[in-house]
Amino acid sequence: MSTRLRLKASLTILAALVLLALVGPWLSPWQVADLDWDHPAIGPSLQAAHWFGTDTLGRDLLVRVLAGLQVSLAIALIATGVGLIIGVATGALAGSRGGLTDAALMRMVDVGYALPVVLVALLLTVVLGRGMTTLLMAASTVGWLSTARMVRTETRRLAEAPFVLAATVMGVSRLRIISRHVLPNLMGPVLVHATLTVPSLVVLESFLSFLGLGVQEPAASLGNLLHDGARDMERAPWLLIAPAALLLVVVGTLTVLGEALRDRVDHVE
Amino acid sequence: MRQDAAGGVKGRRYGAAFFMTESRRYPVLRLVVGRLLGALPTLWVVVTLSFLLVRLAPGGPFDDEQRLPAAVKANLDRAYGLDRPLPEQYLRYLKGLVHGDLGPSLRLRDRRVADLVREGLPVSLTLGGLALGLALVLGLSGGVLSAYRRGRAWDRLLALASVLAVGLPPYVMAPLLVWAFAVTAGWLPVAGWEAGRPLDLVLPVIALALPTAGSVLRIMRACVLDVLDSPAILAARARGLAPIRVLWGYVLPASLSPVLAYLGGAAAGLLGGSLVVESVFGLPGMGRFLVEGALNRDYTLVLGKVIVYAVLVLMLNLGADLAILALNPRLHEQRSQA
Repeated sequence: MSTRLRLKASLTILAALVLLALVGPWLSPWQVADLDWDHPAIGPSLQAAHWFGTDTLGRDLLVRVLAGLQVSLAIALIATGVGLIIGVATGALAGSRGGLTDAALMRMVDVGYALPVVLVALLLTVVLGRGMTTLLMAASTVGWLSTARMVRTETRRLAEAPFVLAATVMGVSRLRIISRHVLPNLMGPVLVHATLTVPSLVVLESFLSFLGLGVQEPAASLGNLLHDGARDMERAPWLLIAPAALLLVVVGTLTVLGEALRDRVDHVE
Repeated sequence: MRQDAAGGVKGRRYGAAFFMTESRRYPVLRLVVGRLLGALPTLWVVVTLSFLLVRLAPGGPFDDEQRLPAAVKANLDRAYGLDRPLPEQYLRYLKGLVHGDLGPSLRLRDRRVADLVREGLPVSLTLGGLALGLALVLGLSGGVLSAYRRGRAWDRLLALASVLAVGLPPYVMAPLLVWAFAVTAGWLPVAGWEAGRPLDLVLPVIALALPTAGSVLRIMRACVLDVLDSPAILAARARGLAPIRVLWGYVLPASLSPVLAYLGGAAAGLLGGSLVVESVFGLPGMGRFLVEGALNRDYTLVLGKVIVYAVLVLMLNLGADLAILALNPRLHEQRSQA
């Protein structure tokens, strides 16, 4: 498929998913935590007005899946944003200052890489207890490390570019060079990087929530839905299949989008 | 004297030149030692940061729902050394660490963290090692096949498979596999672990390996495609080398480095995955008690296991670096000359 087509297709699917996640729960007759005492653990059924079935407590799965998607996407987006801001700042600082600052910052990044995010999440759980804050902080560290490395490399490359030299010769201040000449040129790669970070954070969120470290009941996220689904799989397989399929579609679409963007940005350069 | 021997016949090469010739002697050994020493400060920072982070937590391991009498709590704190000033606790912990002692578990009565690690590590290493091996075999062969059949049915099929493998993390894959092969078909055990029953490991290893295999496949495909377009391959083919020799002698060595470089990331993924896979299949590995430990503030348990995991990740990274070096003699020369 051509890059254009992939870009269009993935953006369309993504827009549809986001719309569904935002509007769906609002249109449904059920709420996320509503219990339908008459229909616990029934399979997908139009008659009972549970299109995806219900869980063992009789909560409507469709609403929970959509609300879960909303939470998962929100967490992934916020964490990507936070990671991006810190990462770009660190990377640009390290890349433009060089010397001791560079060495110190990059050592920090190395240390971060030695500590997988699951462990960071576990350590943070000891400090903060489980919940959203822990999840967001742990997830932000993921994007931060790789962004910092990439931005540093790109900054160093740009620092040797003729137009930066020209700006330096004309006496433009360092801060201004970074903000007006270096950062705008970084937008492409950073955007691509961020887009590719989002799906991995969706997976991470579901993973930590699956372990019980993330989003807590009765709120839904893809992770704790998968957890419940895995637990009740033998009597109610739809509880696992629906969130798993949604996770697959979301992660797949985001990955295709990121890669199409990368191809396009490369192409333009 | 040795200087003369190393400095050459003219005997005028001293100073920096002397060290250069010396460093050419055991470049690999020097590199291994250098990297090992370089990993130590990283490890120290990890230990220190983790220690501080864990101790910054408000509340302690003995604050249960039912409050203990103050005297009992004070006694517990004293018994575990928690009443000491923080720097002293820290030094004590470091001292223990150097001796391989990770302290007592604060919540599991009469258990020492080092013993828990000793019990769990073989299980986790077996699981992780087998999964890594399987992932590499599947990913590398799949990547090569995919690249050789670019754009054709095999390539598309494998692309789809890799998307599925990456998008279905181990915690989704594991229950699905159990449902399909253990519950429905009844071929393999649902869960459990007994030493000497290799069937117990089949499903966990597959569940853990697939996502990594998917990533390896994608990286490998891209690399092999790059290499296949290079003039070296054209030349080799033009000289009439058999395709299999082109593959083994030219394509594989040239395209393996990025995959090896990815192994550090794979280690993190496998580690996280193994936590889940162990819990789904009830394997008595390193992940056991870890999540509970984090939730009920078992400082020493979490700290000890985190440190062991960090050491494993660092070691795998080091191994990958060395393998890349072994594959690429050019890097090797540059290093020893620098």
